Amino acid sequence: MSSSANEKIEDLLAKNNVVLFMKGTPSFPQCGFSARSVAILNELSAEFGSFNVLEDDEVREGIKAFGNWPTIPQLYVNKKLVGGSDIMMEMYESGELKTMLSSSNEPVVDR
Amino acid sequence: MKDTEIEEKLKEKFPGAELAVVDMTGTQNHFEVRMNNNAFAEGLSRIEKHQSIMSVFDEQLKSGEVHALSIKLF
Repeated sequence: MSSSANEKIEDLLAKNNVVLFMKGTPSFPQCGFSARSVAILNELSAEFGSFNVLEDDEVREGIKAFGNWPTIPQLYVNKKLVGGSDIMMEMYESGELKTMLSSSNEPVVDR
Repeated sequence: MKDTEIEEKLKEKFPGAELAVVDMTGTQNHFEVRMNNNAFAEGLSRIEKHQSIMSVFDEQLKSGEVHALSIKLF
């Protein structure tokens, strides 16, 4: 993986406690699984950063190696891979995701 | 890729596993895998289990032959 992709990923993860690597944007998801992941995060009114992998092939491939997860979307909380839309759904239904997100809410940047 | 091929490959990696594969859209590239947790070694986290299933299809996921692999453990 190119260093620039890695740097971009590290930078994104450093700036946001919660980051969704997705196809499209939260307001215009371009894949059903990405749309479902955004819907879950919105349902939990989570604050999250997102990255449209369709705009950057380096990150699109780099994030797969980074998280050892071969598909998109991917959710990261506190720089750790949580999973794709399946695991997000499972954790949403069990309430685990809500707990995880609320505990990750210390602001990274002082607002 | 056919659901039967997915099943065969999984049975190779997880001998004796209780599993079912469903072609979600009939287009042979969106699959759901249902698998019994007891097919995995003790102590594996949920995400590690998912990763070990997906690693069987690394090539097909890269090439796009398999576009989506939804995993349900029971």
